[in-house]
Amino acid sequence: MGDRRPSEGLDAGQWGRIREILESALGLVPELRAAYLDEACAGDDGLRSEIESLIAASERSAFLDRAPLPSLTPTMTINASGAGRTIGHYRVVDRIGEGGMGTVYKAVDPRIGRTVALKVISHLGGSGDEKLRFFREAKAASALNHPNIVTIYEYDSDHEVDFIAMEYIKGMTLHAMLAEHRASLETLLEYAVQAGGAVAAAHAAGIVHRDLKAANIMVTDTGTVKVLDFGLAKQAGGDIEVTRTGATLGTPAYMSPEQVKGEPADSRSDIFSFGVILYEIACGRRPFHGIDLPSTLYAVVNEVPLAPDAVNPAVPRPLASVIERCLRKNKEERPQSMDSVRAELSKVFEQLGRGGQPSRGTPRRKIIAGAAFAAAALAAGIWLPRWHPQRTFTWTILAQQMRDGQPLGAEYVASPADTFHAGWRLRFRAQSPQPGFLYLIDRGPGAKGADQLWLLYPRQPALAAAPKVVTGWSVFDQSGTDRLWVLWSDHPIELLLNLLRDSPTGEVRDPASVRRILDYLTRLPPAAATSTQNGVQLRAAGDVLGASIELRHQ
Amino acid sequence: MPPTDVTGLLQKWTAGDKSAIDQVTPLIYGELRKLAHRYLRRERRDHTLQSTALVHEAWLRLVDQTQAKWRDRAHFFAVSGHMMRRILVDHARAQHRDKRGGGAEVLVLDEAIDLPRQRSLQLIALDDALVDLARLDARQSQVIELRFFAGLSIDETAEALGVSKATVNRDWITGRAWLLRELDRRGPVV
Repeated sequence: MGDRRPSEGLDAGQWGRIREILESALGLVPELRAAYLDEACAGDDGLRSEIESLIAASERSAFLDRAPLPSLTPTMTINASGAGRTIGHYRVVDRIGEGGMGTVYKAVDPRIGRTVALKVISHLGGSGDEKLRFFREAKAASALNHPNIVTIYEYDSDHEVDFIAMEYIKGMTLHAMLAEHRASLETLLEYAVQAGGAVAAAHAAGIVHRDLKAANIMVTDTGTVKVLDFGLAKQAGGDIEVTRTGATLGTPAYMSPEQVKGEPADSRSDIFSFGVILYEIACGRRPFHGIDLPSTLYAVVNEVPLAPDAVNPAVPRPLASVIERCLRKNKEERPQSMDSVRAELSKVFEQLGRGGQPSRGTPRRKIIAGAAFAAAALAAGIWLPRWHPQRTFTWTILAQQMRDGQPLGAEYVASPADTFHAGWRLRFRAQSPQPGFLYLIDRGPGAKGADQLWLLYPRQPALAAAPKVVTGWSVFDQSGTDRLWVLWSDHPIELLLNLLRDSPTGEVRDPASVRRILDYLTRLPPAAATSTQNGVQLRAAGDVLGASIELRHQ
Repeated sequence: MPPTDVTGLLQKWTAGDKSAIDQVTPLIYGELRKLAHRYLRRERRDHTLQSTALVHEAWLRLVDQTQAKWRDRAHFFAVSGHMMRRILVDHARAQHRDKRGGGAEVLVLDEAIDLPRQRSLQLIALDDALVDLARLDARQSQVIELRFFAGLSIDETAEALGVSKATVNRDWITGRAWLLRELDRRGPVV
């Protein structure tokens, strides 16, 4: 990206000339531009194509026009490192993170020269007694003296600021590791076995974690897992809210259905959250992911995620099975002890290691092939998404000429680049080797030029995942350019299905909804597109494949 | 910081005292950072934060509204637009670096702290392109910065830069076309 200097050779003087012509051309209605450019460019083809590409770009995107731009997700961290500050008797060296409960600093205990991680708790309410109990629970988990549980040294407060001093760990969270897509399934499983052992030990001592998530699992540089924040969830605020009844909420995507419903969370709630982590390890994505908090919570309580081995065929069935059971909505149906989960995992792990024969095909061979490919790709400097199998789907436009509302001739396979006549009807065919859900969204000039979206497909909220879809006909009766998004998702997209609830025709006019949907669409990662005999083929590793094209009508 | 200080400095600047800008800039920068930090701590993941909203709040907090003139506001926003560009782009770049394998010492990283990857790439690409545009036409690059990062209107931009509205309009239209094409060329942005 960086080394190709754009507009190479263009200097201020040339730009001055170009912009003069460009400005006049943009001031004209499109029909008059060609004639003007003929005259203004006077046979200079380079100049003309330069200007044409500028005009095209300026009409293609509204990016810069949404002036109050970047909506930031929270916590753009701008505060200073805090170095030199003292908290209690600890000297802060650096700020190393910001979590739900407060800020974490790297600090030194000068009395014994020990480096510690200092967690400053921002929302710890309650009386002195409650605080003490909170600390005691955290300390109790730590006192298990388990190699995979982070050690807590002390709890104290300094001028109303509560903090916990704990073992300083040099390493990386599982969350960060999953985001990098670098570790193999075997490695990740080994970490899961370690983490499972830690949680099982805590359960045996009567301690429930209540906020298990990938970000609470650290892996040290030497490959040892350390589970953080045992028992802290119960009373600390931040991401975790304590409801009035005393039930606790964890981090939404990892919460158990009973936590969502505000019911008490016991060890089986941890087993559910652990299942979410396992799913993430196996599939490269979370089982429940709405576009916002309510839809995520809804999914946790109501939706059954796709089977892990359907998302990633390299997942052995025994692993998929234990994940599915951990994720049962009813806690009675889950494995009843963490120890049994850990035991099953270590069996899967051993089978992988021995090249044993887990059911369904030869995943071991696939994994080895995958690993070899990954190694080769890394050596070649290619950034390789790990567990996502490449998803792919092919779509095409079927068009039919119309006159006076009647079909004229047979439908034909059109190219997305074609120009269609207003009044013709179009439908879309999509197919994929993996099952998925098709969504078609059209953005075009609505009445009075208002920005308007249509969900062209589906027209019924609950359409099952299918390997091949042919949509109904759509008629584009106005001339002009529409933008069309074609999405192929491995899960139902709540945001889009909600539209059908409010507007059975799939038409969206409400500016806030339009904005929300466009925002979603523009955030989709780009997929690689190639033309094939069957249409445009998209490939990418994400769970939603999307393409956006312009549809021209005259 | 009593509001009058910033108001007074802005008025000196508006009246032509160029040295006032050096004094007022750190005050505005500090306030923007403080506000951003506060917002970000308070608001959880289902909220979004708009850079113009921040700039507006900084304006209301720092400047004595009964004393301020419209032109002061334009000047204030001009500084703020530049600051917001710096704050946002620095953040996007830092985040992008972390993604590439730094960050080994991060102990607890909440998932919510990321700019969406697409957005951070957009910001970085836009920042680079603006630097290139400044080489072709410095004022044009400034016009885009003010309109985009501070949300200034054509009128306000004209006031802040001391040029006519027609000039701003021309700069905006052609500069926008150039940037959009550059962003297209540099990779998938929108």
